[in-house]
Amino acid sequence: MRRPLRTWLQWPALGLFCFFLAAALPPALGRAFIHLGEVSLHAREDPLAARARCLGAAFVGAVEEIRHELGPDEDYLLVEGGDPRAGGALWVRYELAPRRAVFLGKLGDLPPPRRLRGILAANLHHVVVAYGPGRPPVLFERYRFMAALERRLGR
Amino acid sequence: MAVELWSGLGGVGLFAAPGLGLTELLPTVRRLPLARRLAYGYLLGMTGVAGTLYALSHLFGVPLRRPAVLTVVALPTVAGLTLFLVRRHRRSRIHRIRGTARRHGVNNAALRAWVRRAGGPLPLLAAAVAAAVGLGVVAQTASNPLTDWDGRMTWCAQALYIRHEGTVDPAVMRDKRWFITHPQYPLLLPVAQVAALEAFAGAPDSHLFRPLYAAFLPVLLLLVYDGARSRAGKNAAALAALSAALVPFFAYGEGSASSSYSDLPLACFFGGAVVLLWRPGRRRSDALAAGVLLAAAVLTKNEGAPLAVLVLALAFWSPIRSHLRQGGRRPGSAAGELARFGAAAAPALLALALLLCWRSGIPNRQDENYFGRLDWSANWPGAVGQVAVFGPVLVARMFSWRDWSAFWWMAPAVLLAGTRALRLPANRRCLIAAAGPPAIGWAAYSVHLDPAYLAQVTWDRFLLQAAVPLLIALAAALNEVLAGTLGSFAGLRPRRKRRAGPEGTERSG
Repeated sequence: MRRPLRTWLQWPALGLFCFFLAAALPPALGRAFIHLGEVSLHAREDPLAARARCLGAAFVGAVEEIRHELGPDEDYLLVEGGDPRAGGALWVRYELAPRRAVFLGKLGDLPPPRRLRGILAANLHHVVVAYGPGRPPVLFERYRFMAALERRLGR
Repeated sequence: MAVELWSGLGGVGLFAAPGLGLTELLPTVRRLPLARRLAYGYLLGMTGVAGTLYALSHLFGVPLRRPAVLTVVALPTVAGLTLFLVRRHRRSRIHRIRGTARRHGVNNAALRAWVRRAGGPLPLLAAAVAAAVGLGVVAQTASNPLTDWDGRMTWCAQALYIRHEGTVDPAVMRDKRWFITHPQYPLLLPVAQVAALEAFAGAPDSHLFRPLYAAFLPVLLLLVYDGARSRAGKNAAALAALSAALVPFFAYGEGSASSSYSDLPLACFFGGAVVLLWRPGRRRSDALAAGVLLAAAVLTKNEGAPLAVLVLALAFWSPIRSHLRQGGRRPGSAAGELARFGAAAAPALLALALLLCWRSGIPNRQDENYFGRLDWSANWPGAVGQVAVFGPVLVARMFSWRDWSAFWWMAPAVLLAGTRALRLPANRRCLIAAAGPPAIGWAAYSVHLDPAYLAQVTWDRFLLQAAVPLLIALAAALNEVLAGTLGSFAGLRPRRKRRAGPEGTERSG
């Protein structure tokens, strides 16, 4: 009696299922127990220390300074100083939220200062330049940032 | 950190408690064992609380502050508790009248019944492994701040702005000069985050909301088990749920339970609706609960609306067509089907109306704008021609050992070997439903300017969204494989249709 192809496939399929269980089970349990251990390891940590551990002390320190300078409600201008695909401006915006940001674009692509002045909102006095994950953002007074831009690009 | 852990678990309870209250209204869900009932309760509670706050804030300007959150949580919780106590009181009265009051020794009997209902050693072992994995994910989210991409770029940033202004219509979204990514993305999960942070007075830097996302992993596993149990038996259902627990991407990938993306919640809302709508018995209350979950899917991600349409079409096309073919010879049955359809579709339509109304006041920017790019006359060659660009990326993602282990070595082989089980209409519909999210991804890659990059960062998440129906189909095929190989000495038999329901669904055993 001929058995359909499907029944011949069932043993290899079962073998692959067992292989999957054998390959995936130890790392899944190992990782779970590592994270369960982390709970006691970091039990006394406050959110600031946890952020410094995961995001880098220099980055978190710079963010804290900028938060202090801006105060709780001051909005700001944001510039991407690194590779946009690395997400630097996005992470800095998240860290500084709920302060609102006007995004000017990539530092290297900014228009000449005279044109830039025409499109800037008048009531924003600070510029934050983000440089990418782990690299501390830098806060400028707006007039200082424009002066530096003029020196670099001319008027 | 201890504060974050306990507040995070409290945040999970904030949605599970009213959800359990809501399950009191659903006869089939109410009778489920506590773990599975909690899974549906968490989803219904999340929808009820966050969805109500979303609507109250947008339509009536109710501030998203602690009093509103606690009121919305308390109402279904108290109502559910009252119903539970009334029902229990009635039951005990009936027991007294019949003289069957519980006596000594009942604890042992209850324990034995519980072990029997848990399904035997294999499901219990699978549950233990899944619990360990789930606890690990909760521990990870409680110990570490948010570091994922979309969580910081979109979902949690939105939550910070919403919380600051106490409304789902903050100025940062309505005024287009402010830098915000995807401002028109639905906000159910950010509103849930705000509710948890408000209820537990979380600091702006607090990551106490992260366990809310982690809790969706056990919910997903329980949905898979619940959906697969009646089609594939307890053992195959438990093995399918165990497979999901062991896939590294589901627990730790970018978009998983340890991130703050909305993909895993969407997978649960979509999957929960699939399970409830195709539950044997075809009750109207199940259809209503499924509709509530579809509403949540609509309010969770852009993909939610097309997925809701797909689920409704799959669930109701066949019975309505068969009634039409019969020429209205059974008008009562047709009316029943239409009522079920109405119960499932109405909440989803209301959610869609709310979403469109909310979006109308928000100028879109910093968004891929897929619909703007959809020009069939210009793009149709892309649907085929771009495959050469993004196809290899899809394959590479699925065979990434770090994210999927050997899952995609195993799953196609098991599905192929268990094709006979997949011929049942209910299982076939599961496969079609599972194809929905990847099809949406495929459409997006076909019109995107950089499809390889988009596929690289999103394909795994579309597969995650399809997890529940895919794993239910996998369980059915696995049962066939187990019966064909180990069946002779393990006492397993392939499950066949015993009594077909209106759509050929198998009656639960």
